[in-house]
Amino acid sequence: MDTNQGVQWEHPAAKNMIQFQPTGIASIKFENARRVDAETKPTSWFRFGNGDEVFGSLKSLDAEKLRLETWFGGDLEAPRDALQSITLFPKGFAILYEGPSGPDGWIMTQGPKGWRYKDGAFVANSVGILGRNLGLSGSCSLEFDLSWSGHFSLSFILFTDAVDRFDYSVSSYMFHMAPGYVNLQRVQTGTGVMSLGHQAQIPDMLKKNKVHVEIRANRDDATIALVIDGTPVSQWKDHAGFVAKGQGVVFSTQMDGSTVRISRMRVAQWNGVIEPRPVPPEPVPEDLVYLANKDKVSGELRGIREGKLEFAIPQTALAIPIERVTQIFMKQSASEAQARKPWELRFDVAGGGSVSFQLDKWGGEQIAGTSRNFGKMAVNLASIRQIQFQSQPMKETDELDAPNIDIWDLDD
Amino acid sequence: MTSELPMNAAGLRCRAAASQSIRRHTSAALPCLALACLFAIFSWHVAAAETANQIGAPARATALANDTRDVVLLTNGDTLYGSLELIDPTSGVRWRHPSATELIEFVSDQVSEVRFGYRPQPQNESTNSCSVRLSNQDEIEGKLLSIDAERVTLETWYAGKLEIPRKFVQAISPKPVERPPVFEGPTGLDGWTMGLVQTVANAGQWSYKNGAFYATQSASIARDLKLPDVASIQFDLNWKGMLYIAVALYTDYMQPINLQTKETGPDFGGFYSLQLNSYTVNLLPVSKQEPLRYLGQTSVPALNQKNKVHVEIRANKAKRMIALLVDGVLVKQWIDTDDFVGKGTGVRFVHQGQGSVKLSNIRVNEWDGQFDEKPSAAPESKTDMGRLQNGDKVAGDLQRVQDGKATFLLPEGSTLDIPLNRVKVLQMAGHKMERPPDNTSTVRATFRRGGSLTFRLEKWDQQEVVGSHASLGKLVLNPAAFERVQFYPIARPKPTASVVPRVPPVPLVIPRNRVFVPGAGPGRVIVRGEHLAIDGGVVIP
Repeated sequence: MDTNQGVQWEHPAAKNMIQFQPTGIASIKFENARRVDAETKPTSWFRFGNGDEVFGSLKSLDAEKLRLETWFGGDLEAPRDALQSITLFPKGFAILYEGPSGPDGWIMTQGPKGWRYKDGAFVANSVGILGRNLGLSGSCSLEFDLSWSGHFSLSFILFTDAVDRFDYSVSSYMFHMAPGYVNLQRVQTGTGVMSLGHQAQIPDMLKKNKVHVEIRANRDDATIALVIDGTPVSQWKDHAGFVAKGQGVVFSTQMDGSTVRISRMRVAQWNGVIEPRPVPPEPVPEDLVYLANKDKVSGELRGIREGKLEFAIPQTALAIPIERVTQIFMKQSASEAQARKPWELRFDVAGGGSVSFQLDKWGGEQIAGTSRNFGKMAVNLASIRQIQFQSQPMKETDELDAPNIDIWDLDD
Repeated sequence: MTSELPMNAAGLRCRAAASQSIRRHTSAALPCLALACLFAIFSWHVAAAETANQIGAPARATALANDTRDVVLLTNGDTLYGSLELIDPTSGVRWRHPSATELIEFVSDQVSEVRFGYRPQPQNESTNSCSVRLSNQDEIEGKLLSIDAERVTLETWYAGKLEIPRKFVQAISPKPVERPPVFEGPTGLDGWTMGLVQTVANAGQWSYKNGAFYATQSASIARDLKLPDVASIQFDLNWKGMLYIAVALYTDYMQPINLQTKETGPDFGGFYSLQLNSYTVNLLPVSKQEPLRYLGQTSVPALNQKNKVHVEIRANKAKRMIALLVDGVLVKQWIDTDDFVGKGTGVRFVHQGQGSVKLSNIRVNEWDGQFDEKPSAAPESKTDMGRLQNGDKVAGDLQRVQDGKATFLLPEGSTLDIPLNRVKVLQMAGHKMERPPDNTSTVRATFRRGGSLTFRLEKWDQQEVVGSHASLGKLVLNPAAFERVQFYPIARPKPTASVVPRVPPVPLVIPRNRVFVPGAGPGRVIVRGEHLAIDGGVVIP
């Protein structure tokens, strides 16, 4: 990739290198991206106004600058007014899985039209089992994009040790989803199957062919919550405690004919206390802090240093221990969108995070560029999952109207 | 509840039933659902088999008129839009992509097919137009000039005059004169009437973009399309979420009708409401004062498994018949035992609003009232057969077709002339038919108007396609005639019984004074007169 020559692409079917201009490329996906090993788990999730998202550890924040440590770019500094929010994970945060970027590690048992891997997604047109041991332990979240054609029936089974089959004799939590509704069952070895609560309705699914599914399992509370397209659908509590001890996940399709597609899957381990709130749709007029006891405070965040958050409210100044803070939303001023440059690319990295920067140099083992937030920076090539050329925040390119994939998406 | 969309009621019942079925299954019996699905599929296959001989236009991905992009499909499943510059079997496939700075050259054996974007087709105004099916299942369309004992001669716009050895012809189906479409669109909202769906709170309107109508909420759009008395109405239907759409046929009223309150609502003339949802289709005649009658419901798996279908509705007012074809397969034919209720010539599309719907490639044509029939296989038949539009059959020796008439020599020795426009299909005697040698074909090219040719490709560029065909010889074709070209090896349909190769014995002359060892090869030795003829691949040491 070169700012003068464009993107040079080698394809086994092409005799010569193909040269693409950047304006015509939506994204490039890299299979088998691997995260760089880091000594410490990130404890914070930083989101920026331009769509950048970074997992790292907060070093300090003042009126001018944010300083943080990341596993992929070392120590970084960003202007404070570029920061949109910080979510804090006192016990650390770990991405257990991101993908798919290939079939390796997954068990697929089915006929010819069952699960198969293609271009960053698992697709099934028939009955099939797709499973993997993801090392689930403690509280965790599982999220993925789900798209379909026609009427489908999909079960996703969490915390199971039977990752190669659909098994009602092995402890697990089983979601059964079809367009418009979902229910959850607890399966307990030796005890049997029991529905947890009532079937939850998801009327919006009747209007769509694609949703983003997020499951948040809190082992301490024995609760499991389902969020569809950012909207909570239901929360189930297992009054018998969190009975499933397995570490795997299974996706089981149960209908022939319709197409089901799973992509952009992410499994994260978290402390079970925090349920990150989405960024408010409207800019917040003052800095806003959420506390562990669910209180929230509006005012002026003056800084974070030495484990304390210095916060001013009209009546007084507060010093809040950082471990009591769960989330901070920064005051946002209306700012004009900055013109995108042709080589301003967005990099999604394995292990979580997405950063855009103007490409300076691609070569060797890393890619170097200049970020609006972080200035000069370099990223290890092996850790890049996807490059988006439109530099839009975390948006997947629509691949669904490819002629050989029978799922239709509205053109606009 | 607007029950021009009463799919509402019926459809929701259906969905509830499905949801209960899933619920039951999830509580205990997983295999039951799988079994139910298998049963559904099996039922569909039975239904499909019953209607297999009555088909409509083949299901093809129709390119929108404004989409001229080609797409290349590679053997590994990759696809790339752009435009084809050249296929040269020796050098590969040369491809132009708007974002690539130079032409891309693909290795031939890595390309599985090329699909072509929209290209305008000439109107077929010939009265002698027909489709010729060859013994290798190729099918070509053209103006039938003549048939004699040796050859079938066609005049085509895409390849000039074609002379086909008669022994390679399986059947000839005369085509009705193709009249210009009564309607083709949409090209915008002009001429269409937006209707207000008053029975739902979130009613919206159809919008137009790039040759298609879109509705994301309940919406109605109608137009007097001047439906002929015997009509074919086609469109592509895409949807997200649950499908609930009603198509009013032969209506004279451009606003949606609330079927629950139709007697007290505004006056309207009768029409037929074809209702499609994700599970079933149904048809009901709707008149102002008559009670509602459902003419019969049937399930359409394609509507449950896909998000995109090609719909064709065929109607015959005199026969009080309306038929529905989905992706080229006849799924239901309704006969109204009462009078035909349609009082107008308009069509109205009403979207229920459960999801989003896209309508494109709407086309209305006069229909000849005939369902296409696949020529049936008759490998042992000793006589040619003419099947007529009225169902009659003529068996004999088809001596010639000339001046719009087919001449049969009947068994008793007399001849019979039949006007070609009364013929549905001319089927050649199976025992005279041969299958052309087919070991040299490298591509199968599919015509936009149906049918395909397999041949050895020499060159394909934007001006011409050059190749050689086992039956037709050297070919120079207009590439605009084709919608796709597939490269061998491709999964080929098994030959039907009528095209089982009948390779005639090849006489092999062996001097009588030579020793012949019959045990050396797999064939039989047959003594015929002065020579030995070998039937089978005998190797003579």
